[in-house]
Amino acid sequence: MELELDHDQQLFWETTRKMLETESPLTAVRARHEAGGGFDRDYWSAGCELGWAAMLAPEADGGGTISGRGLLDVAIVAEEMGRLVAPGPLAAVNVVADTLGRRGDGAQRAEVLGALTTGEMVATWAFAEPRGSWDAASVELAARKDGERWLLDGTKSFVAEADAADVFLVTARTGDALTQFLVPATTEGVAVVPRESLDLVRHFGDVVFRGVEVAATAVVGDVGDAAGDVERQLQVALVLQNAETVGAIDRVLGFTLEYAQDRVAFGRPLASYQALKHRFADMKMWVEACLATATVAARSVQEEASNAPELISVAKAYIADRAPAIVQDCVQLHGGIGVTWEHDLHLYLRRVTQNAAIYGSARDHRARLAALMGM
Amino acid sequence: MTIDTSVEDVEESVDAFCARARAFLAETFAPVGSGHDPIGDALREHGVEATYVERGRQAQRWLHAGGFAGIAYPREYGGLGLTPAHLRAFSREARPYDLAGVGGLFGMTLGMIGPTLLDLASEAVKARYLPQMISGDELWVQFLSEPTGGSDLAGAVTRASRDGDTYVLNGSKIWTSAADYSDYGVCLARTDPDVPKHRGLTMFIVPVDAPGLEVLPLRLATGDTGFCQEFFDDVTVGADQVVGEINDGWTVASRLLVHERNAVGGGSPYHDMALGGGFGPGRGQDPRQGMGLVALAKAHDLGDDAHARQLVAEAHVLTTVARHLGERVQVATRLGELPPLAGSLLKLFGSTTNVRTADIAMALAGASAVVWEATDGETPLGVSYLFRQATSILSGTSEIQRNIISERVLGLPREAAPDRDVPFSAVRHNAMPQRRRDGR
Repeated sequence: MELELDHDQQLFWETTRKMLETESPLTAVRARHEAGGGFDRDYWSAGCELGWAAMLAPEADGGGTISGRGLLDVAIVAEEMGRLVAPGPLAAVNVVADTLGRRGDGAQRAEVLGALTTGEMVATWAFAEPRGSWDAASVELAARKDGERWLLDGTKSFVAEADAADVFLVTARTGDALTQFLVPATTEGVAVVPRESLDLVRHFGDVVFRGVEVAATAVVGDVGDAAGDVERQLQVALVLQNAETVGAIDRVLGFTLEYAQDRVAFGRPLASYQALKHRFADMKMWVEACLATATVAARSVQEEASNAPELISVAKAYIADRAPAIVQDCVQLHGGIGVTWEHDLHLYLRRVTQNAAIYGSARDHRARLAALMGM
Repeated sequence: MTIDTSVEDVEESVDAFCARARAFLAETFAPVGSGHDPIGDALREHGVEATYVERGRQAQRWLHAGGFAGIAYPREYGGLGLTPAHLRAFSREARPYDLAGVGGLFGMTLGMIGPTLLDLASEAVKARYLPQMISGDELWVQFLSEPTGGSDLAGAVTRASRDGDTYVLNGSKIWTSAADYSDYGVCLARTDPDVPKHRGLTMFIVPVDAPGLEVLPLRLATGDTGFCQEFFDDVTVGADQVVGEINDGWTVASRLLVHERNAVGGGSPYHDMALGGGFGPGRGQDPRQGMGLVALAKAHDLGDDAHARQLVAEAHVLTTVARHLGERVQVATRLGELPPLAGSLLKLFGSTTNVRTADIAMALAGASAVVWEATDGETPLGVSYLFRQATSILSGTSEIQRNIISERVLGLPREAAPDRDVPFSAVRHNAMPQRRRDGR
């Protein structure tokens, strides 16, 4: 995404790419799928050793960045993971780590955040509900005060890596406001219901809360004060999702170009036909535009700019619109092999199509923009 | 084509520059919608009609007098020698003010032709012409396209015959914006018809009021004049009035087109065409853009209409992403990550965005776009819809841009060209249309 990486980021980028090419080439992704999907904990720990879960955590809690701008550093990992449609709870863990670093109390940071950075624990954000909205106003899962404790009731859906998570960051409704809770997966009354996922290795599930009792110490931040954290978490998740998607589409365009230059029809390469050249030109334009807007949005979230909500929705709306269309066009340009299991295209199509619909669709983000524009 | 873009090497920081700019702008120009018109007032005081051209010229003169003209142009030619970051910063500070579309008016002069002179002209030519461009005293046009060919620029048939120390030009140029109010033009003409087409061209500098040069404004489908056709009838120019070398005009034309596509796409490191609300992606008051569309939707009671909200947001996404792409292409070409011709990515994105936003505006306006109450001022929406294809055609059609992107940016095989290495005199081309008695 970023065209100008500093020396340390450059090194980090090269190390990340090499690590993924070795530990998680496409053949490994397919093998992982055959074995049930999800991600290997050892692989995730190896990534954590490189800092994949540490970039948004304070140093005192085991955190550390490459460039001082942690979100942009972990976006480098996300983009490389997109390039190889790799498994792993990168966004899931980093979203929670970011909030715990900012709002977690001493115990939460000591017991959970440190373990997240090492990969010992995996966390995920439980926010959307069965209706599939990432609009904070649609949260219905209720948290009711019961003496000194809280009772949680409701269902969270579309929770990334729900079956692998040791702890959930749950966004609940407390009266007219939102409160977030850190809830271990083993808490009585918490049930994870795995769902089918379009992606070959990324798992999603429902997390059902039936009379789940948690202590007051489970509250993250202040009661009724979670709206700002929810917005920040959405932004962080989207920066990493966008980075992953642009990594994927850039790679797909690249190997489709190679294919069209090699493959001959009627005596000349496919890439010499003007109709196809023009399609490639359009796709190059769209890919560069996706890269550009993902970068600008990422920077605005890193800097906590006042227009970060607008820019992240611009980026998501544009990328969600274009990315699946680009990969589908590349399927078209491959002809029949483009719709086979054997060809790698569907691995990418699955990832970008899923990303387009999670954390808000293009349509959802356009609706958000209309509101921000005062419509 | 290198300019120093590293902010660290420059004396005045962007922040300090912005502070000065803010003070200057507040002192000199009126905020948009304030009802004040210092530019118009100054012109009227001097007995000059406050037309679009005169207002823009005045704005440029004031920028120059205030020390804010030619921000990224070298100091030795009258510029400030600052960076594209300073240029962008000035545009941001200027957004709330009425600068009379100065960016658009001087778009060709300072965004396209000026940078080309910087890259390829002799010191004598640069010293004579650049300062007057920056000061707002001289406006320039491009005499490139011809009635016999627009896309095939290298196929120009306008002839320049040597006669001692001068060249004599004969032929016709067309689609020239602004020839009717400009001072100088760069003119691509054929100096040697017996070599392959790309090798026999020269870029001349021609005063628009030269004897033998007739400018004919063309009427557009919208009813406006906007482009011109020119007839060159034994127009003489000095042999030193060239940009670059004799017979190397194609190098100059190619460079000019790169600058043009960058400028039109919003990615020029020399000039912001959108400054002061001028032509270009991301301009403020256009009803097809940003907050203008919000106002349009509300005016038609569509504020709560879900589909209308989607359309308004879609337009905002496209115009915002266009700006992001402009920044990226600028940095990428500076770093060599993308070739200079990557400006075509911007041009294509800008024009496809314009097409889509034109459609969105029409969708929101409904019947009021096609039947309306007469007012002064802005072009009615339905009429501007007639010009929807304009930016997909001018400065190289979208089809040509796709050829450039696929061939020069992606490196895909070039189109077959039967005229590439053959003497120009042997190539098939369109017949020059006969000029009618009524001059058309």
